[in-house]
Amino acid sequence: MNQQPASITLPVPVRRRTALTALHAIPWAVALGVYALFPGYEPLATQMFVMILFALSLDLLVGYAGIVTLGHAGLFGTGAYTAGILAAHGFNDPIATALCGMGAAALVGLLFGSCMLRTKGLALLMLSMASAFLLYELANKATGWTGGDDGLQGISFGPVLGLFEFDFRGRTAFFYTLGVLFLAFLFVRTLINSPFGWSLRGIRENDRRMGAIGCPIYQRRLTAYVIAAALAGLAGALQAQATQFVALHVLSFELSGDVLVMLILGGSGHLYGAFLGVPLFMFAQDLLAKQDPTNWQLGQGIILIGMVLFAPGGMMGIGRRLMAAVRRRARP
Amino acid sequence: MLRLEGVTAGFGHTVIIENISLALPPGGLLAVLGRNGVGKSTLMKTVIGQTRLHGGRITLEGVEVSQLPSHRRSRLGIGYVPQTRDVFPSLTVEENLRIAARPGKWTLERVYEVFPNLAERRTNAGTDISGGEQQMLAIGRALMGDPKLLLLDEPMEGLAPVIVEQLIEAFDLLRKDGSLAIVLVEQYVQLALDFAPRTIVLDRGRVVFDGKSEDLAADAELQASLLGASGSVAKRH
Repeated sequence: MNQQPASITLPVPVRRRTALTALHAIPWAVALGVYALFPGYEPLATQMFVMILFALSLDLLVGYAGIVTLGHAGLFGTGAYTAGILAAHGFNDPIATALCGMGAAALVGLLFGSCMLRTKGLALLMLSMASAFLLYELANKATGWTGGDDGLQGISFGPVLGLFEFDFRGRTAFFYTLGVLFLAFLFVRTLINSPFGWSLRGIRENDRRMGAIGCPIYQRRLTAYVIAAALAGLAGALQAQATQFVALHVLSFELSGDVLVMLILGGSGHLYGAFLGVPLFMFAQDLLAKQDPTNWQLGQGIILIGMVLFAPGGMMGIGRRLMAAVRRRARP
Repeated sequence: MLRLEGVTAGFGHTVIIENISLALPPGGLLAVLGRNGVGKSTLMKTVIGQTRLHGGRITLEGVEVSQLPSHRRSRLGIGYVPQTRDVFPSLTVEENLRIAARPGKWTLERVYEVFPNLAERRTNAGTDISGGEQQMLAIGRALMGDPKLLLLDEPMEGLAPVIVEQLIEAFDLLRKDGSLAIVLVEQYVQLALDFAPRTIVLDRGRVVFDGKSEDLAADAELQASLLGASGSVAKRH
C-alpha cells in the first residue's frame, strides 16, 4: 500500500453489463418485427412510440432528477398544439414543426419550472398539476386557435424530409416516429451517463451534499426540467403529425396520470422502463376494455396496486431480480 | 485566507455556536477539538453554509461568503467532507469523483495516487466499498473540486486502525502540498494535535482554547479539564 509507484497503472475498467449488450437491440428489433409480421398494426405501434418518448421524458424527471410531476401532459400538449396550429396556418413541414413544438414546450417548461422547482415534494406536485390545468383551460377557451373542445381538425402535414408523404396505412408515421424515438433515446442515454446525469442522481439522493461539492441544485433541476419539457413537446408534436388531429385530451390531467402509471409499471430510472410500461399499459387497457367496456379502469387500478405492492421497480425491477437470480445460479 | 468574525450560528432559532472568531492563513492547518455536542460539526457546516447564520461574518480570501449558498462557497474553494460521508450509492466510485471535478490541480489520477484503494474499486457502486474506502472517497470527492480549504469532520470515526494509518499517510501528503489549508475536527486528540500546529477547543459553542498544539499536548491537566472524557479516546489510539 505504501510503496505505490508515482504513476500507478489503473486496472482495466470492468465493463458493466457487457454480456447484456445484445439486449439493447431488443426493443428496436421488436418494433421492426411488428412492421414485418403484423401489417395493419402500424398506427397502434406509432401511438406506442409516441407514448414511449413521452414516458422517457418523464423518466428523466421522475427516475433521474427525482422531480415527480402530475402535469407532464401540459408540455406534451404544448408541443402538439404548436405543431397543429402551425400546420393549420399553412406551415406544415413535419421536422420544422416538431422542432417548434419542442421549443415551445421548452419555453413553457422554463416558465413553469422556474416557479415550481423552488418547491419540493407535495407543493411541487400540486404546482405541476396546476400548471397543466392552466394550459388546459387556456386551450379550452382559445377556440379560435385550438378549436376548443372540438379539437384542432383538418390539419395535414407535408412529406417527411420532403420525400415521404404520410400515407393511409401509417407506414411513414411508423418509421418517422420510430426514427425520432431512436434519436431521442440515444440523446437521453448519453445525457444520463454524463456528469450532468450523475449530478441529477446525486441531487435526488442528497441535494445538500451536491450543493457542498459545488453543484447549483436549482439550475440543474431546471435544466433537466427544460430538457424533459422539450422531449415531451417533441412527443406531442409527433402525436399531432401522426394523427393529423389535436384534441384537448393532450393537455389533460388524465394523460399526465396515465404516463406516470406507464412509467411506474415499466420501472422508472431504468431508461427501458418506458419501453415496457407503455405497451403493457396499452395492451392491458385494450384487453380490459374488451372484457368490460364500462368498468375497465377497475382492472387497471388492481394491476397498478399489485405492481406497486409486489413488484416495486416495475417490469424492469422484475427483470433485474430475475437476472440476479440467474447469475447467482450460474456461479454458486 | 479563511476568517470568521464573531460568528454565531445554529439551526432554525437554536443557537449552537456563539461568537467564534478565527483566522487561517493560506496552507494553514487547524485542529478543532471538544467533547461531543459542543458545536464542532456545526462550525464546519457554518463555513460551508448549511446552518443559519445569526451573526458575524465569514470571509474567504477577502471575499465575504456569509450569505452565499453552499455551491458558491464550494466553487470559491471550500471543500467539505462531512462526518456522514454521504457517498452517492447509485454512482460508481469513479462517477462519485468525477461528478465533483473542476479544473485545477486535482485530477482523477492524482486522487488515485493518494488513495490507491479507490483506483482498485473504481467501478464498484459508491456504497459497495468498506467504510474506510467510503471515507477516502468522500475526501477524494472534495479534492476533485480543487479546494483551497479542506474541512474534515471526524474522518477517523469508526475506522479500523489500519485504515486510520492509511488516512494519516494521505493527510501527510496533503499537508506537504503546502497550499491546501485544512481544518480537522477529530476525537482522537493526539492525532489532531500532531497534525496541526494550532488547535482550538470548543465548549458549549464557544472557543475555550486557541493556541499552539504543543502547549496543549504538554499540559495533561489542561487537556483533561478542556476535553474530559474524550481525552481517554486518545489513549486508545
